[in-house]
Amino acid sequence: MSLHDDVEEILLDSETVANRVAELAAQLSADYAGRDPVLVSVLKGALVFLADLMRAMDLPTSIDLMEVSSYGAATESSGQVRILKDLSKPIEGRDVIIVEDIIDTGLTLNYLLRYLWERNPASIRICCLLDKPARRLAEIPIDYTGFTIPDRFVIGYGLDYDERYRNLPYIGVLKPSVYGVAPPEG
Amino acid sequence: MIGVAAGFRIGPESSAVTVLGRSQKQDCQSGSGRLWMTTRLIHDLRTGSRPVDNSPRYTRVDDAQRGSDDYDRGQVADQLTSGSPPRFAHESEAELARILDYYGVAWRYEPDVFPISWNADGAVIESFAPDFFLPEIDLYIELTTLKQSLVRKKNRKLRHLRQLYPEIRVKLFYARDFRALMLKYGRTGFLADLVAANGNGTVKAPAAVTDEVAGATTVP
Repeated sequence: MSLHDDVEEILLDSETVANRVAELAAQLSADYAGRDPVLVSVLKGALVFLADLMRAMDLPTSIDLMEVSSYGAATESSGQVRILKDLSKPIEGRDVIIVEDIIDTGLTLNYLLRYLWERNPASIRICCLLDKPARRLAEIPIDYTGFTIPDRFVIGYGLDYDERYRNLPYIGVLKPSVYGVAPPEG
Repeated sequence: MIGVAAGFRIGPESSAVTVLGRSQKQDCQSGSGRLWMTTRLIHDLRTGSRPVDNSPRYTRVDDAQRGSDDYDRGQVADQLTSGSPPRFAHESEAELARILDYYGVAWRYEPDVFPISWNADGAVIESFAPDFFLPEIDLYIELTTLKQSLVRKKNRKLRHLRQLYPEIRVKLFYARDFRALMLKYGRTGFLADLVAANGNGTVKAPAAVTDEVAGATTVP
């Protein structure tokens, strides 16, 4: 049984993703020329994107990682989002680029933006690989977008379902049978 | 946070969230309904020129002036003004409230009723009360997990609402959107329970996934 067997459709193949990541990196390198931005990513989904993006950027960048609790995994605990891993260095006065894998409801990022602005950075911009606007609740100003995608359950290139499929080299749509849901009505 | 209307909040604890049962809902419907002031009030609320608190912001409308199904959740306005937690009409609404609380997003439950049609005498005969208003985001949310036939009716109402009040932002969450949200948060057990309670067999409990596993899918 291969991981690929659970993929209903390849939405973005690895070459398409790589090309777009290179474009984003070039754009960031131009926009931040002469500066030293810090790339901040949220574990774990953005790891693959971050790794490819930073290697394609021609800038003296640094990186930092955060981990934020997710609603479903913590409904029995505090009942509020928690920072599971904070930044390792101050960002005061720094230009921050938040590198995200996907933005859909925008709720986590909305929380994260408020949190990071309290650290007094010089600027914060958002670079996301995938934008899924259909389910947006909190309007987030996205400065750099890789792809705008339809409202489908995507996996691969860092994105998971139940911690699996992150290592797929492309972005695919998970078969509904994997998570036990029949096709939606209408 | 976050129930800003009456200074209350709900947490993730199920005891803090009351879901209105069918019989309770019917009882409440027979009680006095309140129709909130419309455009002016909504403008005031959205621009912040009026405090978002418990001050009286509604006009009473005789039951006879209301259509049979135009305002089916008048009991909630009573809940807000009395300062007690809202009684959600559906468990999905309570779940969305918990999610919003979790991420620190302020919300109000059915704070406004928008008249959308009137009879020849000028009396309101049909209204629309979106389930949630997120004051910080300036967004109304209507959540529907209803049958398709009823969704069509809600779509029609929403169209009228948008035509009459183009300045407000309303997002309709369909059943499929809510399902996707639950899957994203690994709440498959909750989803299965909800479907079972609704008698709608579109979700089966997956063998490999449980609520406890709660696989975080993607960062929202």
